[in-house]
Amino acid sequence: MNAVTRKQFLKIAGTGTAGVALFGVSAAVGSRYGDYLPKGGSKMNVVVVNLDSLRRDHVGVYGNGWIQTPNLDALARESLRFTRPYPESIPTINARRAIYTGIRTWPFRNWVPQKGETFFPAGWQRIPEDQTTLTEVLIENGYDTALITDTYHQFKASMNFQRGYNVFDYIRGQERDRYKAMKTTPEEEVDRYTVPGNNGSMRDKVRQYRANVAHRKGEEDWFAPQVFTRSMDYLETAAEVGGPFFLFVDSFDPHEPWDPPEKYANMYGEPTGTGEPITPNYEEDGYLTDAELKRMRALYAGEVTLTDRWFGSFMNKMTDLGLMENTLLIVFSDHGVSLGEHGYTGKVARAIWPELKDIVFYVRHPEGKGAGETSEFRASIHDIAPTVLGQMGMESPNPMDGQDLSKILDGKEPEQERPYVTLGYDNYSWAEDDEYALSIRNDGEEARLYDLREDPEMNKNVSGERRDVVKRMWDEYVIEDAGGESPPMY
Amino acid sequence: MGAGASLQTNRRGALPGALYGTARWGWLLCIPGGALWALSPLGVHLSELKFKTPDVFWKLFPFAPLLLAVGLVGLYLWRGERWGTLAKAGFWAALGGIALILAGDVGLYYLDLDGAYIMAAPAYRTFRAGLAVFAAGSVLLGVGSARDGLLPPLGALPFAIAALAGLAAVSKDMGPFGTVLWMSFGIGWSWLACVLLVGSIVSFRRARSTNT
Repeated sequence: MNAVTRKQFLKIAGTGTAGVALFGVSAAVGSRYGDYLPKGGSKMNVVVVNLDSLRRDHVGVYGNGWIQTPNLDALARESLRFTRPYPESIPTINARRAIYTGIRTWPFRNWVPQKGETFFPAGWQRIPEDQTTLTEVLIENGYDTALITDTYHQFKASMNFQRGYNVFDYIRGQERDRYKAMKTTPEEEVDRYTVPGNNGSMRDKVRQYRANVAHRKGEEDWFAPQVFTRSMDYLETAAEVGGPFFLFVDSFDPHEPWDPPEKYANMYGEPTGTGEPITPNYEEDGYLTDAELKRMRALYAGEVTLTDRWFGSFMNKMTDLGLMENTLLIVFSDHGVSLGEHGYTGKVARAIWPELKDIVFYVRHPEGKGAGETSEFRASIHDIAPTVLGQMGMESPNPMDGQDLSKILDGKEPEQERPYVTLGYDNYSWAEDDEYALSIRNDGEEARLYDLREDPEMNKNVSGERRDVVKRMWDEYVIEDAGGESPPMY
Repeated sequence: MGAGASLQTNRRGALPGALYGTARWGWLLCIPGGALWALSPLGVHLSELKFKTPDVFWKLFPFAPLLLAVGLVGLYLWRGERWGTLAKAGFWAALGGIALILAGDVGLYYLDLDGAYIMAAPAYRTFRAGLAVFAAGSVLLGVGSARDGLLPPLGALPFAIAALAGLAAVSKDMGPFGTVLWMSFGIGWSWLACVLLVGSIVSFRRARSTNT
């Protein structure tokens, strides 16, 4: 065996020391910086469509047999469709915060009621300054971002939902939007679009709304048509300019008031001959006659078909412009609405049932991932932001509570199973797993428990007989998800 | 005359004498090229700090691979005639990788190709592929020349290890740890050229003392 000479040893030792020193220097310097590779990659366009108040059971592909929704049904053939999606929180503004930030808004701690508002459900506030929105991340990565909406709550002066958008196109006049002087609405017209049982608040809503829409002539002047037409205009511009874009089409329809053009209004039933029930009181449904309730349901269904028809035009435009090949499309609704199924109409916090909390949720990937398939994963609206970013390989500076659904799109198991869900609306919370559903006030009172295996329609409250289940769901689901303490009562 | 001498004659024949003499010393450019490569994470950081975007740095980045390309060619002209198949394959792969890096950089940051082809992202993919090919070629070059004893082991072996680190770094974004590996790759190139430089100086001194 050859012995190593002193000179060779010194050479090797010196080299080794130098090597270690160099590596040490690079480790010391390099570990301070995390970016060393060029940024880029596939940047597909993203279009997110929200159909406010669209009930899951009013869409054909989700099981409805009497309402025409051909475009939403067709979309299912090209999309991954979630069969059990739910909103992280209700109503409108809370849901928008969750959509934009990927951060849960429930249990609405540290809620800051906004001055100038007329609606005060817990959590109804602007996006907190310390939270980053999805579009703020996309803009940083070279996206053009646009919000086209008639959901007027977002463009009140007290709100800030234009954050992160290069373009925000606000279509004025929906519902109670203070767009035109409500005094201009004749009282006979208010009578024509209300029922005798409508309360003063709803009559005011109609008064404002009818003033706002007095100029309408053709179908194009209704709100869903306007929102989708303006969105189509944006698509044309975006396709012409090139470069990736993010478009959020936030349609307030089929939210009330339900006064679609005549052909839709009479598609599912005839008028009663008295006032049209275009807006529901947010209370028990005893103020309606059976005929009025039936008519209200028909008007809502007509509004759903109107919205679907214009959503279809929008989809056709996407196809014509070749955007279906390079655009990730997410279509969902933020909540439903009660139409007397459990004795309530409108959106009543203590009346959370499937008609209020069951939503639709589709993800259409341009490469056909998951096309025509369904997933039972309980996807939620706060999963949208992390999914969009996950598809782009981007990260948000602040952690998100939602889950990237990309793995499910790839046909794999979700990143994290979701064996139960919790959601909240004002002072009430909802928890649900495969066996039970629980509605409960945030002080632990007013529990309603349903055994989903025996009573999927949720008609028989068994909270009195199964107090152990109520306690378990309260402790392990509601308190756990609320951060270890009861959700606050406001 | 051996095959190696024939190759050298061919290479020499393709270039005018003075240019060939200069190009043979091109390998020295591996020192600044490797250093610039190693410092590029700092460049990204400074670009973000000053211009709120890393793109300004990435527009300047081609200087590092260009210097390494000239250095690589110089190395080939100087020592390449004796390289085995593995080292030669490494040389050509590394050179091809650099060409891809340059093409990707120009496409991405000067021509904005990926703005037009957003799904395919051709420039970005070319850039990333170039980085991987360059690093893989460097591994082959280091291992091949060390195996054949044609470059000093003290230069070739650490270089091969650094190239392997570089290959890992460009395969996946590994954050700060990846930065360390990336910097090691650049330092590996500088190290190789430094070892060759020291060897040349020692040889020159020996030759001079023998002559005197």
